[in-house]
Amino acid sequence: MASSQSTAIRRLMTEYKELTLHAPEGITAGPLSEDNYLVWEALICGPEDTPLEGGVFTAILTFPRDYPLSPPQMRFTTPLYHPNIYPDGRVCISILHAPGEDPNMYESSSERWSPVQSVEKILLSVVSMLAEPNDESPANVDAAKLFRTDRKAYEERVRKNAQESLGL
Amino acid sequence: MASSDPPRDPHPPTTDERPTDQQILDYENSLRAELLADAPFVSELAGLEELEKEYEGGAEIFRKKLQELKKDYPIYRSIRKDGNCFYRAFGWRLAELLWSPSSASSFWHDTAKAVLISTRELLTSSGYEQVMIEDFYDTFLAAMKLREAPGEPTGLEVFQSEYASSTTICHLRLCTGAELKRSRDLYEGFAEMPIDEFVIKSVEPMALEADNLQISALVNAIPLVNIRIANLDTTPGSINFHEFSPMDADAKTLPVITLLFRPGHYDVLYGKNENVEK
Repeated sequence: MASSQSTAIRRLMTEYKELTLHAPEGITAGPLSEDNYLVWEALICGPEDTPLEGGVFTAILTFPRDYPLSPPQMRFTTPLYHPNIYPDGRVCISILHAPGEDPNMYESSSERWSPVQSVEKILLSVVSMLAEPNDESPANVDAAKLFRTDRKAYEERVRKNAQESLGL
Repeated sequence: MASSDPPRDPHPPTTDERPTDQQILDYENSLRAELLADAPFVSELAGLEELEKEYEGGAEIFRKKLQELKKDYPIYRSIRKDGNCFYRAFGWRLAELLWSPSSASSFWHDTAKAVLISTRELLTSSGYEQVMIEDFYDTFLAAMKLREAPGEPTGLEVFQSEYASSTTICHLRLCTGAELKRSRDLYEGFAEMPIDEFVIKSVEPMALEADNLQISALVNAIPLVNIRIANLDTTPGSINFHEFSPMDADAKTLPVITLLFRPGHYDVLYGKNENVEK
């Protein structure tokens, strides 16, 4: 009978293969090293027609040994000014939380982690979160405040952020 | 970075004196983990007197109902209170019935084997991809001991091990989801949202409790047992039971699984003459 870690690794290998064959537009992801399938790097392009367009953002996904029963964690290593990303880069989005582990409990109707979710679904949710911030459950209070009160200044700040992400 | 056990993220830096949402949540989770730490997923058999102790000094109505219940159901097993209890109780009792020597060469046992093996097709025909579900399916069949698995732990040990127990629950959740989608016309009126959304939000995620709709669906997804649920609540009078039977099977020929329901939680009850796995 399978153990939890061998299940995690087999599943991640399957997902990796699928992602290399049919990568969604603007997303690349895979294990950082062949020796450790439990840590992945993802590159996400700033969604078109948003102030993040043109930027490229790197994130690290760390998977628990009992993946996919439990969700991975995701952290941007490229600085990203966004209402739903903590200043330290951690992504706050409902699909990364199992029920009962959600810091934003009132989001009870949103999509949670389940064992039939996948890395691809997480990354797609993150892309749509980047395009459409949810200022009701802010992880970065400053960004949420600016987003709500001065959209123009917010977008200016984010555009600068996108340029900086390219290291120019 | 070659650590094989990725560290959990530390708390975000905070300039505020108040704890962050994450800290409050971590605290709540640690309390819950502490409470659960000693509770087995499926307990050893215990007399109903153990339950009665919980209600000593409590409302009279609970003591009266427990006394009444004890006459027909003197034994129970407690199931861990982690939101998976209905699925865990169902999986455990189903396994116990399959293992029971008295069912070994029965017609029911042969049917059960065929039905459980066919749950893979139930899932794939409802849109679950085979590569996403086969690890859960294999572990489920092994837990039910329908797959040769030499050297594996047996009986209660399987259900007390976290991986096998959780994976079995996961498979039962997907069977529930598959049945809801397969016969969506039947269930949609009760879901208050489109069935696909209901399955994603209220069935597939672990640790979410099962309600009537999930129970009805699981009984039809795996039409091998009737479920009888004793409600321990404060309604006056004697203890009342809810019954769930599969629609397309001759319910009278099927074994009955009896559960005890207290708001938010299910445990397993055993009748006087039931064979039980020690």
